[in-house]
Amino acid sequence: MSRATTCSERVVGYDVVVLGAGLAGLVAAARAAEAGASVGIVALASGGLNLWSGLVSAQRSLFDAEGAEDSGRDSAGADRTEAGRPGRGPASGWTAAETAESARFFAAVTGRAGLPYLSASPASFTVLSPAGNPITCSMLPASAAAGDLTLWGGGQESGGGLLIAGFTELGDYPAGLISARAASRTGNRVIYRSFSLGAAVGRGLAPRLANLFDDRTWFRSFLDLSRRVLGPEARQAAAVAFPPVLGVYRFTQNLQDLAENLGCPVFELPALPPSVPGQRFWRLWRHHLERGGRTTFHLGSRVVEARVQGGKCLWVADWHRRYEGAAFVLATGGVAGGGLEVPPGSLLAQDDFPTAGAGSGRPENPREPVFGLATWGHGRDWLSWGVRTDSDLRPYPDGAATEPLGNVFAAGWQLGGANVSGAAGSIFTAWRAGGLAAAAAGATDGTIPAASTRTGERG
Amino acid sequence: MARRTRPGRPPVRRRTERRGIRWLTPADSVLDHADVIIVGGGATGVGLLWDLTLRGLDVILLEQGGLASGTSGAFHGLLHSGGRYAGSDPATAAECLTENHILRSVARPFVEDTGGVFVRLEEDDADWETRWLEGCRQAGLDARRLDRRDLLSREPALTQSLISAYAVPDASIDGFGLLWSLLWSSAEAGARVYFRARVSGFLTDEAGVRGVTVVGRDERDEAASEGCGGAPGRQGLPAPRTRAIEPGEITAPLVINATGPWAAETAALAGPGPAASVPVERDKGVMLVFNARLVSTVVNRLRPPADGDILVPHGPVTILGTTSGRTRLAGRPRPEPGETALLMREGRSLVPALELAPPLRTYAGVRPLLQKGRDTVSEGASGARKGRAPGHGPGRGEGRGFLLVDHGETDGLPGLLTVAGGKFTTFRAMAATTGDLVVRLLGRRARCRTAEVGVPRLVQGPASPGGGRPAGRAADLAGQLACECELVTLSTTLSLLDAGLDLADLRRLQRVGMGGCQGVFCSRRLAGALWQAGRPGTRAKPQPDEEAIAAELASFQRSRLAGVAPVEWGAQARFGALSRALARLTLGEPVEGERP
Ligand SMILES: Cc1cc2nc3c(=O)[nH]c(=O)nc-3n(C[C@H](O)[C@H](O)[C@H](O)COP(=O)(O)OP(=O)(O)OC[C@H]3O[C@@H](n4cnc5c(N)ncnc54)[C@H](O)[C@@H]3O)c2cc1C
Ligand SMILES: Cc1cc2nc3c(=O)[nH]c(=O)nc-3n(C[C@H](O)[C@H](O)[C@H](O)COP(=O)(O)OP(=O)(O)OC[C@H]3O[C@@H](n4cnc5c(N)ncnc54)[C@H](O)[C@@H]3O)c2cc1C
Repeated sequence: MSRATTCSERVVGYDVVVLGAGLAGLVAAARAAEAGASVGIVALASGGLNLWSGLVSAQRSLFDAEGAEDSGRDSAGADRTEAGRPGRGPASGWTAAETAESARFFAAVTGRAGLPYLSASPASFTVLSPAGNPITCSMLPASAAAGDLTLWGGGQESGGGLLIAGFTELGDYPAGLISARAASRTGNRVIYRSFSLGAAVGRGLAPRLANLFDDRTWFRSFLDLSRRVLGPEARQAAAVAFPPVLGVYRFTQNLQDLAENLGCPVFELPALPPSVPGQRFWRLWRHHLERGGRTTFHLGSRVVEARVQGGKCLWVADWHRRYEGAAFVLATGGVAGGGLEVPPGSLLAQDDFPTAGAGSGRPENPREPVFGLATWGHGRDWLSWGVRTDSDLRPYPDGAATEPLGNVFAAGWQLGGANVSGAAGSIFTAWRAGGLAAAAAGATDGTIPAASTRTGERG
Repeated sequence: MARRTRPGRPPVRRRTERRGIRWLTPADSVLDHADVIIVGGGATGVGLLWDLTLRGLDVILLEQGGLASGTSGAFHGLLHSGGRYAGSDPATAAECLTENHILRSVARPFVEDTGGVFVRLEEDDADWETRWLEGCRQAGLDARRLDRRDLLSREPALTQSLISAYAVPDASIDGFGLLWSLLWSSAEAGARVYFRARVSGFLTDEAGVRGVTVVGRDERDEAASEGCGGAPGRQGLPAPRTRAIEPGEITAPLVINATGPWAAETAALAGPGPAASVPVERDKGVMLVFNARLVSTVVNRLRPPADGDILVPHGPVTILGTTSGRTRLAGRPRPEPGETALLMREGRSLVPALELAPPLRTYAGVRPLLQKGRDTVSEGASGARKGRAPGHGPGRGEGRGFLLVDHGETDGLPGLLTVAGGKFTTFRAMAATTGDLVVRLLGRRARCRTAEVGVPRLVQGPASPGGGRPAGRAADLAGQLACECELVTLSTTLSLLDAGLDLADLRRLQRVGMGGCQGVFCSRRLAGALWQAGRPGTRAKPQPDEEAIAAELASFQRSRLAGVAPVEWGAQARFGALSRALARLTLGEPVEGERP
């Protein structure tokens, strides 16, 4: 097997080439690397991570039986779905045990990366959304854990209810509206206090404020300020919620200090994009993967070409370089992530659908897909659009093909059906795809669990 | 249906309402009185409000939605030079030309002098060019012939296959800004405006119409009338508020029906006779908005008026329109994919680059079209300038002159007038003719002043009476942007909200939500700001609670989605996917068209 080569070369090779560095790309890379493969990540940018609240939503997912059946009904009918099978979510028929396994893997890696997550499996957490609606998730960052409704809610006996702190410098965090909404939606006592971080701070988006919280000296003055402003009410409250800007790196420490300082549990609420928890994820996972030594990032690379021969992908290329691999993971995010293109005017004739590919196509002909894979989906709900695969996540080259590409595995929103799965679906499919790709590249060191040897298709 | 009041009961004459703009809720039952009631808050109604207020009359305007929530909020944005009608109807062309000149001078801040061109392509009929030129001559329109090469170097996006071209004084007009300023100037001068106030019937007695009954509406009613396809979108709406037991009653010696495409329905509230005297049909037109200024001048195709043959540069965008087709639909129509496809096809033959430019969204309006062959201009209007009689022929060939009916003359129902038809461009002339009739019927003497009095641009909104927001909070928001795409600040926005606008109005006035993000982010930011800023008790609109804000946000998003969906491809599709992800996953909000 080829091993990682230096980046100055025009042709580089890896066991596994991962296209895309969103949630799915990173998880797939981590899995393949842990299995012993050399991994090259080729991606334009960090994908949806910048927008992701950090919560792993426990929505109906593309791999639970009901969700799968639903997406089957939703997709426009059997004729547009995988040959011979009714229109099912790409991962229909997979077991809860496998799902739990992917969650365990995720929790372990993200803990090692310095971004601990808590898992509620098989139950779920209920937290407040940035609109004040209660939403459920199966995993959440430890920094958000005290926000679980059962901890601060629970009716009148706990008395104190929730105190939501807002910063006037942070325009897109309407603490007042969130608290009003949360109070009416949960039936709990929810109050808010908005205060200014000081004239010197100035207005800014969340990432700018987060950098400020990484400054220890500044943070000490913030502790004093918050005690003065929130102190009396915080002592009454069951918990205090802050905007998710308490540092890009120092957030764990900061949260601890704040809790001690205020004398009650504190946590971060999710917020509108740009989202600091997503950015933490991107930075910490990237450091972690690079430190591991098996993964190389090629960022700012738009894949514009792929060579497929004999049912296998040989290489993909961006403007500068060719990336050879024994196996490929396609994690370019579907229509939302830029991995699927909806051609101009395709809606005008209603039976035109997205062109599949690992990107928006070749420059000389923007409509020509890179891979030209078969797609499936449902109406104008672009989140449900994805490439059509067999149950091992291998995409079919076109509508008529009966054989999927042998060494390409799709993951995350590239699979579509994402309307019913949040991050959980991406994590699960990426975990699978990473493992299958490593196995296909012959790079496994025997650590691939049973999932990849599962036989028989259900559905 | 007309409601008869008990004989002998004195007319309600109470002045319970403050002057200014007020938003009704279903719980409101207003009593008010004025010299004249105008029903309909589009260009026609607001123009008339301004005209009559300048004449010193005490006027009340009633509109079932917000300002220009009908056709006047969904038109092409073109201040016609008359060129469009020169070939088929030189008299209408002449009328447009006159109004074009007047509005350029009195409404200067709202008119962008883009100029316009008519271009004939290879495939277009050359005889029509001759006929058109003759029409221009008759209308007094100086269509200057342009050198083909000069024009192409000035407008490189135009097709190479153009044969001949002429310059005309077309312009683009900020319709919503103009109407808003007219409305405010009138309110400052004493006029009263009720929004979300639907006229449900007429009050009559032996002497004829003496007022109207009014019901307040809420977001739910508005969503229903938007024609947004029923159930799914309504999940987010709050439970209906308590409704007033009695509708409100507003009385006046004269009621004017200015409900545009809905004029016949409104007249029908007074009986079948009045309805029959208002031969107005609804004609749907669709427009496509492109995210760039593809041309710098209005481009018309020199052929008999047809689909997709005008491009209007409007602010940072270009609007391609329009289509034409009868509709019976009562609410706001929605563009259909077939219609946008037709526009794309036709538009491309004028500007081939349309193929590559991403359309931002699409919208539709309904024209108040006069039925052919009916000469119904009221004979009672002697002494007043008459609206012109409709022309003949189907579709666009029909007259665009307007209709002014004195139902006292036509149906033996004095006290009710209907004014309908026309164009945005001619709203001032329509108001002038109607105003002359109004003062004559009321026995007053006051001449029309709208051709002389300039209209100031009121973007900030006037100072709110009796104090504003608490100072500290206003300061908090100073300098924050409400909309990054269009660089609108939150404080400007809030002062407009204070003055009684809602999010949908802001979209039209300040273009919030019309930039690249199409309102995905800014609408949520505004909702937060709305709540945070609180609303002073003096404010015209009812104090919003969390539910009301949610409903307003939902309706804003719904209308945005309706406009974007038919043109979602390329970058727009990607944005659509992201905004759905945001709503579903991050916010936990229901998404249009999705099962809960
Ligand atoms: C607005 C938003 C809100 C969200 N909120 C939640 C939530 O509340 N709960 C939850 O569970 N999940 C949420 N998610 C997260 C979501 O689950 C993940 O983003 C999703 O799983 C998609 O991940 P992905 O890696 O498949 O795709 P993406 O994150 O879109 O990544 C695609 C990658 O492919 C790259 N790419 C695309 N084309 C090319 C090309 N031609 N060449 C090279 N690289 C290319 C991109 O640069 C990017 O790196 C949210 C996502 C978004 C966008
Ligand atoms: C697609 C299209 C493009 C156009 N482009 C141009 C152009 O570029 N230039 C131009 O000059 N003209 C244009 N026009 C024509 C122009 O827009 C219309 O003629 C003009 O806006 C009509 O104004 P209006 O006030 O009569 O009607 P509207 O604006 O429709 O106003 C009527 C109002 O009455 C209200 N109403 C109805 N029933 C009731 C009730 N019972 N109680 C209370 N209120 C009620 C409605 O809510 C509505 O707001 C275009 C028209 C269309 C359809």
